[in-house]
Amino acid sequence: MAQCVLRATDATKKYGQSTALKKVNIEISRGQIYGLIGLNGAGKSTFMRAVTGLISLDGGEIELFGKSGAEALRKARRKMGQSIETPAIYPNLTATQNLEIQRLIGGVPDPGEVGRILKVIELSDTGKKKAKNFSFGMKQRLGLGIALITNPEFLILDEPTNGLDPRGIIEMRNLIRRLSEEQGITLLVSSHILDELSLVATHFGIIHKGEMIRELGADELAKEARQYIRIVVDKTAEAVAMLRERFKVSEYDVSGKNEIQVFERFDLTGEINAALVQSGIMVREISLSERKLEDYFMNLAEVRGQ
Amino acid sequence: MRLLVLAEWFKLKHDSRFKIIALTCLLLEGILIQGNYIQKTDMLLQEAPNGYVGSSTTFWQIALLAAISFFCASDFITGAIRNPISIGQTRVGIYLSRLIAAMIMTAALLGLLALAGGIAMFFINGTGSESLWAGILAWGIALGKQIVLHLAYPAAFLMIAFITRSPAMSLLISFLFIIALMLAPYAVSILLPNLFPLFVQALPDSHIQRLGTENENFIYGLAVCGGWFAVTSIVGCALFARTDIK
Repeated sequence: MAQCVLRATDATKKYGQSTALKKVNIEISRGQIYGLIGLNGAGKSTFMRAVTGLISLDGGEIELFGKSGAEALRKARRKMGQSIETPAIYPNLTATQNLEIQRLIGGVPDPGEVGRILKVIELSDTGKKKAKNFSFGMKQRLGLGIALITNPEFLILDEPTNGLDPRGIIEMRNLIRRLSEEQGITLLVSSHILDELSLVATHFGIIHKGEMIRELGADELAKEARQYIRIVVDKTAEAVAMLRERFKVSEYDVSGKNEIQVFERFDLTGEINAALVQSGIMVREISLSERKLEDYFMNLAEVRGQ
Repeated sequence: MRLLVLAEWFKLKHDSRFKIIALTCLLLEGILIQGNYIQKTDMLLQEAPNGYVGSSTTFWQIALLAAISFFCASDFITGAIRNPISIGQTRVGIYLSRLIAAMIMTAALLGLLALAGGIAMFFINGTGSESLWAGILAWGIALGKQIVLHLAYPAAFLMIAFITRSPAMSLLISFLFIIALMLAPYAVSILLPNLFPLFVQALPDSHIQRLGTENENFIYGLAVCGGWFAVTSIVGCALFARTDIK
């Protein structure tokens, strides 16, 4: 069984009367890219801040690399890197100087690490240019470099593609993949765009109004949010039997009293309709539906919000 | 802690803001010296060459509060304060490393101004009846005492920077703090005249201003300024350790 890198149990945070986190439970195992999805203000950054020790919890517990308790957690954070919200950089210093400061703070003995990280984040050629003159994408990459300079085993990235242009988004996505595949880093990445995270994450947690409303793997998400044929009939059992026998349908769901969702044979929608009618089954509705990831996410959030 | 101090030193060396503030101070100091030279004021004649350590305490304090506000409070705005916390450095260590940086800035600023003033006075007045080395020694001792007592201020300014967490607010509150320290004795002398002697003794400036005069009691001044240093440092550190970082 893979080692648990992060375990949050009933994590609760209040700001005055409002509750930013309501008993959030998350478990992230080594090697995972965990996507934390939520609308703005859902509690993603608050949760990440709690994990990184920037804020204290009002209830619940956080465990990092199997360690809990204030002092043990603090020491465990040495194996962690973060870039939460805005890139945490010194604007009056160069990229090299920014990385050098974090190398010193993190006690990384090899000064050559600065050059290596500059190559990883593709900022080797910035020379004496100060960080305040960088584009937003460059600042994001520098923030990521600061998180990486201490060779973390666990990396927390809060909305890393926020404000990036399409090319920057692709580059960041590729970088996240490389960090996971080549360096074996476990990642917790947040976004308010499920489509974006679905391209890199292996596991997902959907947070809404401070509550974790759904946790699922990439396979489950693909299954729940994929394309299907929606058929509304009067005789559900007979229709299902016919779909199985005649069209060899094996992936389907019966939802409600009369609705069947078929997750294959999309090219045979017309034939299915004709066959059902010829068999004396009344087809009230048949359509090819596609539940986009964003719709799926919004639907979940709305259902929870009701 | 050692690593944090090294990082602060690296920042001080490479961040141009402190250098700009120091050079501005030096320029203003030059203007003040020139003004004194032209007017041939008593102050110039009395205080030169030793003990002439910065022409105006308030002017120097403003430079220091600006340096600390920009250097320390801006870390909350840029988010850079998150970096050491999230890799397991203690908040007490982070605060103390900033305090050491603020103390270095104090010594550097004061030393720079004193050096400029001292050299100028030497060329204007010579060393008087003293030998050059005796003059340098007296100047060094006077500067050392100035720096030690002045350390009450970076501690207070740093506390304000860590409470306000904004360079602009830190600048404003620190400035008001200096004004309040200047005006408080007048207010107390009018409102509570019986408490005035005791109140004045509790202010760092009273002891700093007496440096180099006949009624100087350095140890007493050290105790008062040390008290200010300790209290503001403990309060700032405790608040930083217990509050959330955005």
